[in-house]
Amino acid sequence: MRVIEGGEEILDIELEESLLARNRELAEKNRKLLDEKGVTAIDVMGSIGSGKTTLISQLVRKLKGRRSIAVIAGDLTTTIDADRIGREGVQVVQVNTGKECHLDAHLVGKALEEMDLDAIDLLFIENVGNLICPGEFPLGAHKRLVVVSVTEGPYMVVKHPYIFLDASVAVINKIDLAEAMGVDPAKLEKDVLKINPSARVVRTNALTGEGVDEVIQALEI
Amino acid sequence: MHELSVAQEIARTVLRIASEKGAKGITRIEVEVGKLTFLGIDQLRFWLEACLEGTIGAGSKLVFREIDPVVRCRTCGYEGGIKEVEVDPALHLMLPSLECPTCGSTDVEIVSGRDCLIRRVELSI
Ligand SMILES: Nc1nc2c(ncn2[C@@H]2O[C@H](COP(=O)(O)OP(=O)(O)O)[C@@H](O)[C@H]2O)c(=O)[nH]1
Ligand SMILES: [Mg+2]
Ligand SMILES: [Zn+2]
Repeated sequence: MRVIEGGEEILDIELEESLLARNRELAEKNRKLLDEKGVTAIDVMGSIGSGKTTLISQLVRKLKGRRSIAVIAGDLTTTIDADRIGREGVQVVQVNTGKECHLDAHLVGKALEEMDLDAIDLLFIENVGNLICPGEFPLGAHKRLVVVSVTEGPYMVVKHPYIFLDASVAVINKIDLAEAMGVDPAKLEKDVLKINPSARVVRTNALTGEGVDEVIQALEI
Repeated sequence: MHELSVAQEIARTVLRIASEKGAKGITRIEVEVGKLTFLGIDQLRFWLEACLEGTIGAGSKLVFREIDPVVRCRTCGYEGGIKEVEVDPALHLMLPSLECPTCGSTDVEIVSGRDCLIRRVELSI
């Protein structure tokens, strides 16, 4: 901090106080803990209703034979999603954010403390349904998966470009409804790849499980 | 939507500094906002004013500066502005792209443009 005496009564202070650094530090701490315990973590982001919970349930169903899985379910106030995923027979920790619009590294760190990390090797984190705020708050996950569905319309990707800059994998979900919606999944895919050419894009029908094997491959899990 | 929590953090920080310095008032606060953050400057200003109301920071001049993103290419070493692509000519919309503007490599990392910093506080003593 540099202090400049400017005149008699004004103190001018230059600083470099980052408002997002604290979350980043906590995210790094989470990552270190996950690495120590040999757990791969996937942060699943997407709007409300895009299909995050349905997709995670499918992923768990397909992977639970060969991976030891746990899920952190973020939600404002309810335990609906945690109950849904819990039916797959894996450890689920519910994190209620109250009125906050996103999970942050601190909340996830608290959830990690509650979990038996020695018993798992794969962790899915369902972020709060919102395509904006969660992007600001890395959680310490190894990969970010963004779910958009064709029912959100043709401009979902171009309206939220920043979230895709960090996505390892983007899922275009509800392809069974593409025709009815008049939305071209190929266009959504092209938009994602323009923004982030190294992202993997997979089309899914999370209800039937179509494309879920490709999501597993794309996530390399 | 998370502008409120960031504004609260700005207010807390500057009020702490002001009280450490024994200031009578805060006259100016300068904040830098990276263009790749998800923060809206109008909302930040609105909430910061609200958070400072009734404190010695009330009425201080709030200056927000947007910071252009900088990327670095791991293939050719380019360091500079992020590439922008037009997604759909009909939309007249330019989007940021993680492709190197000089060599086309996709091995590009973001160096800056995703932080939010308090840069300067002016106090009356
Ligand atoms: N038709 C169709 N419906 C889906 C698909 N994926 C999810 N849904 C439905 O969309 C609704 C919201 O899904 P959910 O997983 O709760 O979304 P979340 O809010 O992102 O967790 C539910 O009624 C799901 O059954 C899909 O691929 N096709
Ligand atoms: Mg859900
Ligand atoms: Zn290059």
